[in-house]
Amino acid sequence: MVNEAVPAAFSLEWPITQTQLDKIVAAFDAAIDRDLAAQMLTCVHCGLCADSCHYYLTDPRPENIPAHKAEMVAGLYRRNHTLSGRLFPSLNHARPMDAARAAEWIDSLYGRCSLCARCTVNCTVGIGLHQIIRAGRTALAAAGLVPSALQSTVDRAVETGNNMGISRDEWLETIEWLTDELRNETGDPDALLPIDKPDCDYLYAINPREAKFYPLSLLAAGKLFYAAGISWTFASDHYDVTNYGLFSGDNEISGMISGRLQETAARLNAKAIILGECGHGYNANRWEGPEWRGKPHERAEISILEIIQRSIQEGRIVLDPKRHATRVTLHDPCNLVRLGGVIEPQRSILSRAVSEFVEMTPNLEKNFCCGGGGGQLSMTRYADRRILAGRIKADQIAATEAKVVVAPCHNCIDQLSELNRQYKLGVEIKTVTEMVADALVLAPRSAVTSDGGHPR
Amino acid sequence: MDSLLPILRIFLALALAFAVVGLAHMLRKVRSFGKRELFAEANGTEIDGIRYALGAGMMPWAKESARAHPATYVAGVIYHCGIFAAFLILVLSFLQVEPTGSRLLVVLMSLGLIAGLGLLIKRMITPSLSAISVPDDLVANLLVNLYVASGIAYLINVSWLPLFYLVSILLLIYIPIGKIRHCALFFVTRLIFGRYFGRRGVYPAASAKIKA
Ligand code: SF4
Ligand code: SF4
Repeated sequence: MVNEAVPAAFSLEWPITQTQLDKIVAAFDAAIDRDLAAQMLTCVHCGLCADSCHYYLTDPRPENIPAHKAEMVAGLYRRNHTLSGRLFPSLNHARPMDAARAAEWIDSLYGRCSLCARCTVNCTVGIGLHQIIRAGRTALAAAGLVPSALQSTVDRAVETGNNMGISRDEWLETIEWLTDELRNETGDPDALLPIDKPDCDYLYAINPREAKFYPLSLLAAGKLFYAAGISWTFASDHYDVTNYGLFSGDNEISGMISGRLQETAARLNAKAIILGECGHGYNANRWEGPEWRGKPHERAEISILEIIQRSIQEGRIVLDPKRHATRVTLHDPCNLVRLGGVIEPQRSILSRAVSEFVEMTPNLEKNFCCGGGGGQLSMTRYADRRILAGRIKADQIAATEAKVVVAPCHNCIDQLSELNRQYKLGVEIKTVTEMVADALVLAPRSAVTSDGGHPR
Repeated sequence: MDSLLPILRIFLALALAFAVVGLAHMLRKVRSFGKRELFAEANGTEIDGIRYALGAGMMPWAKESARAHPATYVAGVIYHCGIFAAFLILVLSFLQVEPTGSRLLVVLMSLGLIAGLGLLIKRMITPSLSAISVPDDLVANLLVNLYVASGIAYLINVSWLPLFYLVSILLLIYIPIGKIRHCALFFVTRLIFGRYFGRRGVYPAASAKIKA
């Protein structure tokens, strides 16, 4: 049954039924814990979070103010769970859920937010605005109201094992020719990009965009592991570090996707998992994965940046910074830095790998989102907003006058590449691994063992 | 008017009880949603994060929002000082203790009142702020301003005490209903913020590194 007409402005792909509205309310209630409940009652509407959001800064309309987005969700909490919300709903916009409201949620929570949490760290109170917004997405996901392009990315990952829908044959073929490349580059006929090798120290999980569009970044990682003598393997099935469930809001699917890496590592008897350069993949697997699965990870999950940093510190790889003679800057992916706590390794690595490094302003946990997070890259219907919101990042990059932008996240790289074209930045965009591989001083072949690594 | 005072005192006590019970009920309701058990291995400590959230993280330079809007930040601080000063004299008058240093309190509360009115005007004339404002924002601001103003009037002339009590009663009743409940939730939220980012090793680690 169609509940009521949805305003055309929101251009929904489907009408919203009463059953869906009921599901939104039920799933929203289920997503609330005491921390979220407290935070949904604390906003004082000071408006100071507005300037922290790249959406508002590039398009200053009320719908883009972080508090507006979060308060939209919190209003439902107040309506259903506070006496004042029930008695005086218009006092603080404690509105019930209806079709128009659901449409507004979709437009704002999916279409005007990259879940970057920059507003959270700048909120005068410290309200977890990104958590409130994601709880809203969780409720919409339960009602099947995830924008179709984002949902199909999730579905593809569930069905095929990776979000790009790469077939097993295609994957194995890619690894095969990359292995030839690795052998050429190292001059070692035994060098390997191992697949399904049991009993390694690490299972290496990658962003499938690498296999599809940036295979040389896989080669870079292989070269680096080879040089550092790391015992590692790819998996032939579940090697995808991404988890778009983080963005759709579906916790059950998110937990299932994150669990696959753990199960694959167990099957191969790998001791730990290296998470490739993917900001949201790091947050989704390292931090949110255990919460979605309801148990601690059996195997540790470590960012590749930590592995590289350790390899440099232990003298297992040697870098020549002169190979990167131009000015280099660094983008801090929100999910890796602000939400992931991986702050130091990339800086320590670049200090050894490049000749001239300059920080963006602002940086670290205050860095601006590139605009590609939150599932925005997959939701083509919001592409114009994404490019506009990315202008802040483009301005940040231009101000550094750097020639190379290093971004330890393949999703960020996609967005930065678009910004590069759109805003004519004229920069080269690379991952940390690629920078390191290019600066790598390879040891003589005699020091390499038959399984493709150095003696340990 | 003076004959009203004993009755107003009783209502004041009842209103205070209402505010306390209302806030306690709100917190109990919040707690009823339960604590989510966390399974991810921590990278930092919650206690360090909390220390940051309640210490260095409260400083104006720690937040871009405060750095970019120093006048609002200062007005907010002064406003709250004025409110606390008014609360202090409310308690003293209730206990029938003559406030000492009342001239200083008048200055403080007057500055607080000016700041409160300034914030109200800002809310009305700033498009982004008025866009996210709800009737509660107006009611809360006006009530608090009236409360501080009547407190000043009482300090200047004790005959205004009944009005001060009357406004205080209304304000106390309003606390659990509207946004002034943040008096109880502000620190709860700061604790949550500190725990969240402390576990993840973001704070205080990031605050020690290079910044703009
Ligand atoms: S800064 Fe925080 S308290 Fe102020 S309006 Fe934004 S969310 Fe609300
Ligand atoms: S999480 Fe990021 S994109 Fe979303 S409202 Fe906050 S600052 Fe804006």
